[in-house]
Amino acid sequence: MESQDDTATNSLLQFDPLESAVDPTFWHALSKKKIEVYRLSDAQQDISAQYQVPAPHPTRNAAAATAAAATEASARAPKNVPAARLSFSARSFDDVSVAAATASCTSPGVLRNTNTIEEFKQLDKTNALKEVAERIWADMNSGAAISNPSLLTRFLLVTFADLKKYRFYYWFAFPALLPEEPIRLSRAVPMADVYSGAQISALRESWAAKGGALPFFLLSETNEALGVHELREWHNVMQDGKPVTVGFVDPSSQPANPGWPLRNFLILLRVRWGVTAARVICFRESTLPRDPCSIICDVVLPGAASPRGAACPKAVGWEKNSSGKLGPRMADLGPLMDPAQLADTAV
Amino acid sequence: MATLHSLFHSAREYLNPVLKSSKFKETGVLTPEEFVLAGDFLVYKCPTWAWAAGDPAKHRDYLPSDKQYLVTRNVPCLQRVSDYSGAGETEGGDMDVEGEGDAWVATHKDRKVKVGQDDGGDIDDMDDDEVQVPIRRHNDDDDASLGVDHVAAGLGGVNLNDDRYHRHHHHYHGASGGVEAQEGSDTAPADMDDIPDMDDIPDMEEEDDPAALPTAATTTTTSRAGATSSSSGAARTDNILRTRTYDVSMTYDKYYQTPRIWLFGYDENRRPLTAAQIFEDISQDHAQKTVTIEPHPHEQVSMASIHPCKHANVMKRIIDRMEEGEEGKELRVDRYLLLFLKFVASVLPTIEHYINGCLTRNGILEQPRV
Repeated sequence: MESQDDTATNSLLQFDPLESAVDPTFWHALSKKKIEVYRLSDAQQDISAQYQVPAPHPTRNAAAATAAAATEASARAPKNVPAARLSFSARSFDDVSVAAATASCTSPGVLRNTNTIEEFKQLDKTNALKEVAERIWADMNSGAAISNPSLLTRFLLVTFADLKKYRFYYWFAFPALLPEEPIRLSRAVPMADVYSGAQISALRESWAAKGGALPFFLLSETNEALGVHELREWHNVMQDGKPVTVGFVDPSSQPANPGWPLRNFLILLRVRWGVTAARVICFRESTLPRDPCSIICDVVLPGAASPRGAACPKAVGWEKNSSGKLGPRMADLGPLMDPAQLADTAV
Repeated sequence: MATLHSLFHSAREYLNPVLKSSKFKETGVLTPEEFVLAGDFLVYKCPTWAWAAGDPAKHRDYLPSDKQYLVTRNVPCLQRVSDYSGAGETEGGDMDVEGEGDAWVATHKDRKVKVGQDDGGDIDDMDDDEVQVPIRRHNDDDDASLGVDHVAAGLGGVNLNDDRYHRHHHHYHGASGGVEAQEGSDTAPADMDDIPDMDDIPDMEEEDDPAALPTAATTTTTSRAGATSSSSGAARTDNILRTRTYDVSMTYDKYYQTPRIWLFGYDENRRPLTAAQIFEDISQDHAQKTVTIEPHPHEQVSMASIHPCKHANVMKRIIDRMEEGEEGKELRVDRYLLLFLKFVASVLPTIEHYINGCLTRNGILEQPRV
């Protein structure tokens, strides 16, 4: 993970990992499901989670400044920005995800709730991740991920709920398929360095007009405007000989790195349309006019395109725990969920 | 432990009729319809806020089912109030309420409360981890008889959590010499990621993924013994800002007919904050008066809440002053929550910027002269 020293021309593109942000209502809802619905079943359950563009933050103002340094592709000084988060709440169990904050995307996911701590420990994690990765791969190949790009962000959550102690053991993975050869970054700059204010406002409006929740999209460009298009419009939007410009809703605040959801999107571009180089707009705008904070990454996708329908590439993506190791986390919510403490749950 | 006070409050809220006609200018209160209106405006102007439906079991009829309360998540909180060197606690800028002493009745008492009271017999050795938390509680006329004990108990329960874990931690790892060093130092939550017996998870070799931006502490797994984390966080070399974060929600309080703020905090490693830790992020002026831990009205968890009994008064003052400052201009009720958040900022000074950043920068408060 320290190795990226080929600063010669293009550097290794590094993605800002997602951090799970599980709020206490999620654990309460899981307990309820476990008791009332799942019972002893450890079958896979469909859940969802949300990510969104980063909230306003002082370091965003600094982003423009630091990004200058970041153009030297190897700049890796600590940037001190907030983590990119994938949020779980009680609503993660709802069939229809309620409209969350604007500029918010919903990820589908798989919950594997085990019945005992032993099962939690023994569960074949490698295989569990592989299964989800294979679904992502299948959705790329079938085209399902083109009509519903949120399928590219499918995640995995392994849990064990100790209902006696209100302790919740969990481990989250956001599977990223690996390319044949590492993806290179030729430059990362603030969007305002490349596009005019008018173009950026047009981009915001166009994205909002698409419902304000499109996680991945294509871009058309004129001198005055940037237009957002759905992936299924690829053949209408992309013109031969013109550079490929795409965008995605980026939960990261890193001034020179895109967020994790881009990984599978790039694989899709490579596999589905044979893209070898692309301009990626890491969309971090809210629908409000304010200082532009998106960045642009020009990326190169080397290597032979693996044929569609080939075997699923290896995938990575387990979340590290707070000591930076691959390992589960635990939330102890006894004081917040013990019925004795919640006796007066209003009206 | 639910306080009797909150029980009582629930009953009163239940009995109190829903406010029908608009009185926000006269008295600073809101009808539920106005709350929804103002909430819609907030969500529109400040998209980090969103409506939430809450737990269906706690649904309130007088609010639309998909607009039961407002929430914004993962709001960073960079520093503690005690480290805050901003404009000063009571000098929250143009929204500062004149004569705040009037608005906040000074009937509160200083109390030193021991956090970490009885919560089961297996933690008798708690005492050396006691923290002194200054707690003063709001002394509303109807709760005068309720002792500080309820709050204390609530806090104790919350705080015990970590300490109890800490104890277990000792218990499991003590023999290995892993965590001894921590003894008696403070109540820093033990490292929850050192989950007992979790070491032997098979099949997880380190992923070789150079394309992942290094984020988590790549440095000192050595200091694992120190169970360092929460307060220091100094040794980290990653490029992610490890900071406390808050989920902030705003509910409609039917009894007081005002919005009510709820806080759920997480430490730098995303572990729930204890009540004592949350108090570090609340202006001493207010923490000592009006913050309690109570069940959230729309979710099945308890959270810290700013007691709303004076909100209407304060809002009335703010509204009056705004309109005085801008003659001939009327304040629209849908701006209410923006103003309310400005007020809240004086209670939560270190997260003020993030709550309000998107408001002020857009000049939504087009009458800034207050």
